[in-house]
Amino acid sequence: MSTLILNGRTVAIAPRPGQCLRTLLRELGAFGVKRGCDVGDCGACTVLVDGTPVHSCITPAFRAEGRSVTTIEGLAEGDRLHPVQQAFLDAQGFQCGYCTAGAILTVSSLNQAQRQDLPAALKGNLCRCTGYRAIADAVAGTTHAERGLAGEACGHSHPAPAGPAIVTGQARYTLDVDVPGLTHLKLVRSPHPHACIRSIDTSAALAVPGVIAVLTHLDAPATLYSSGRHEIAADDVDDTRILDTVVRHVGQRVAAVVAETVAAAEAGCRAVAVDYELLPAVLDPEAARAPGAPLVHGDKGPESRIFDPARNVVAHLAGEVGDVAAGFAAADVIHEETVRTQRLQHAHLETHCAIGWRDADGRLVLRSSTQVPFLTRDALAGVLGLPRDQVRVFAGQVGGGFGGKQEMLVEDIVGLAVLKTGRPVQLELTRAEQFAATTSRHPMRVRVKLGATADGTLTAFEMEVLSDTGAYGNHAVGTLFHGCNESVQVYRCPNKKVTGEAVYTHTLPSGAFRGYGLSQTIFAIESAMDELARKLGLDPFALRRRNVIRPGDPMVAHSLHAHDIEYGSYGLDQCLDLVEQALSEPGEPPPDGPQWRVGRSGGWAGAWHWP
Amino acid sequence: MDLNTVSALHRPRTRDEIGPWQAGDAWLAGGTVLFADPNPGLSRLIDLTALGWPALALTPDGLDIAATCTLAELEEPLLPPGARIAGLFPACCAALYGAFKVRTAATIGGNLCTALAAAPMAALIVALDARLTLWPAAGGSRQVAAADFILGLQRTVLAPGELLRSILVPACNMDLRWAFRRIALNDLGRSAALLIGTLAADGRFALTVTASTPRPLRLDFPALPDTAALLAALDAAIPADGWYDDVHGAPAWRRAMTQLFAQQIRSELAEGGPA
Repeated sequence: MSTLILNGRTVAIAPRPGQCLRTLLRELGAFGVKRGCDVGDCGACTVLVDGTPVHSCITPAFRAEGRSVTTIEGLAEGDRLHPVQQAFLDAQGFQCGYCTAGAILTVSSLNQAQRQDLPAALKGNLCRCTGYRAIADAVAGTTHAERGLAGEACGHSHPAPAGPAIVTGQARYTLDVDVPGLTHLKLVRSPHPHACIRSIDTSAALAVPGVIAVLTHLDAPATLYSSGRHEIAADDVDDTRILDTVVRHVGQRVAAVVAETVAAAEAGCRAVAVDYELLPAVLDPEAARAPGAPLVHGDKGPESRIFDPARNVVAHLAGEVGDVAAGFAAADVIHEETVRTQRLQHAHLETHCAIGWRDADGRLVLRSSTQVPFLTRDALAGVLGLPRDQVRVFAGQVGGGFGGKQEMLVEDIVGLAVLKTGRPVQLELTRAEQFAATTSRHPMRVRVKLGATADGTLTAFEMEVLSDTGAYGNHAVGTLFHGCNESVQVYRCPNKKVTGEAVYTHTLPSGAFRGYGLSQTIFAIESAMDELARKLGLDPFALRRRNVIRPGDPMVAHSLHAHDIEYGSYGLDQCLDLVEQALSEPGEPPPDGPQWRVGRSGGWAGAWHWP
Repeated sequence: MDLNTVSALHRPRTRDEIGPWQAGDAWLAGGTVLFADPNPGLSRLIDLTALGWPALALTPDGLDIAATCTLAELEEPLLPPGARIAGLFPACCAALYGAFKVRTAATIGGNLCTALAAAPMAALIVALDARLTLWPAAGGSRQVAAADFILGLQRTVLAPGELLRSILVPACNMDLRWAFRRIALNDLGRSAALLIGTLAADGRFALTVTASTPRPLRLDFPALPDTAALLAALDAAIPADGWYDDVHGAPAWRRAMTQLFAQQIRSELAEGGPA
């Protein structure tokens, strides 16, 4: 037993040999110290050791013995905020706030020279909400927050209600609570893209000291559901089990180990022996639709609502207005191109995590990092076979989501573990699990073909989309339909045709990601519009001005089916003017030398949102 | 992150106290790499900082740098007044991918033993033609030239249980003229090519290439070569498939940058003649 001085108070500590300082400090109740990347890059865990900022996730805990450690909780002097805390409040230099404690502690340590080069000084402080401008404003002492008077509030920049709690480290994110008797869950994951589980031997895992239970498909309900959550659950396909007998991507969960400590749960996972029957896998979305391709969900029936399980097609879209063939025949210039977009992880700093327990009335309660607590509550009740009023799901402060938390990725297994063990259970995904086993933006291949007359008037608009939903269909339908809607509607053209399919492959499931399908298709369409302008010899802005919808125009994508969305005001013309004007202002000059070329372009992106 | 399989911590104060090397052991210096990976094979950490090695010592032989010297300590090295190479140290320390907060803990020894392609400490010591002192597990010590220490990506000459004790920058190299070039996909990204040229008083020229190749490469010339000879030497030393390839830069781009930087370095050092 040794001691350290934590925020001015001497505390006894007994660091474990391989423990990092971050975990030790959180065990001491300093929940303001956050786990972000866990590899020393993001800085959410920054603390001051004898006044020097360090990343506590890569600092051995024993190195703090006899030292003075300041966390965000110890920066203020009583009720008087540290000047940097006040500056972050004044500039509202935070969004989700998960990185804020680390950013404030780092800034508090900067000298004047470092403050002059913030990109270098704050390189080790990632704000995934990308609120860097507001952080720079805080460092510069800019005030944005206004105190509007009652009745005059409209039009003022009001500070976020959570601000004072965020800058002092008092905001409680999902795992920032002390739960007596808490157990920890870790997951055994598939090393294979496609395999059938013949058997799972859990005996060695159960013999690991501290292991309480090992859950396999034998413990999981047969109920199929979607991890993607919508108000209307039938918007998604039901193709997922909590623990399945078939694994369909590398990283899919196979078994869950519940133990008294994280270390015991990890040791238990290493001791689980799984006998797999390997099956052929298809990893390419084009190949997935070909005859004879291995089927990802060939076992599913119509109740899953998969468009065509025998062709790996989970969602299908086809529609035409006008006569596209005639439109191309009438065109002076035709441009056609295909773009491919990659996977992308949301990278919210707070990973997917949840704590579950039974409350005094026996209700299953989950405290989760989620964007959809009520939808998850409904889904959990259905999957676990509980009445809706016997399940409660709520969120604390959420450390970023970006669509990735419109999914039920941890609550289901935590809920099952609570029911099986009767103990409070916590699951916190690692950063590696985030990348290997959660969701990503749908990779898409988008072909766009545009026809126009010499003056730049569009005569035909055709788009074909192939979306890779990976091993499960969560948000596959929604992102396909949404991606093919506003992106097309913004242009007035009498002849439009859109086809699209979302297909299964034995890869990481895709899911909801801000933009919801549109970022991929808009990238393709706007790229094609630019090239069309070049072929026509027209300015790209002029081409868009000629073809964007104008007040009173209907918003038509690929059908004349009436929508319940209308635009109440119109500013597209002003947007184009402002962007063009900004681009024409003098910017950074190109470097010297004849080898440098200057490009200029613009594009449009936008989305419908409705309550 | 927590290294949950580690169940023992050994903090030797002398070399004798280190004791026998066991399977599952790892040397711990700054910990910035060791604690950034789960390392489930580890069971014991041996804390080198407990040995209390002085970080930097200026001796008649040169600058003696302990393996446990942090990059922050190395940014302001203890050098003879006016030593020309003084500026190379902060340039290489700043090239570490990690933030300044990482540089306060990361050590030169850790950076060398991790042996990543972009290791800026490898560029520094190879360019300065340093000598490394190793402590074999069986006792005694041996020396290797800096250019021979890293064998390949994450591979060094260290045998199991052997450790890197120190790095000596020879006194005769304190006044080398040098030129430094570096590029990454963004200004503060991981180095995709980091080159250092040195020119000695007697006219000898050396070009050190790192980050664009899996291991450091040093090309020695009796005098500053012309551009064609320099590029020919690069071509001869690095086969077409010998350029490093990862998300931090495409091999063809790394090759182009290496060739460009080699020429720029040659030109910079050619101006003003030998030191």
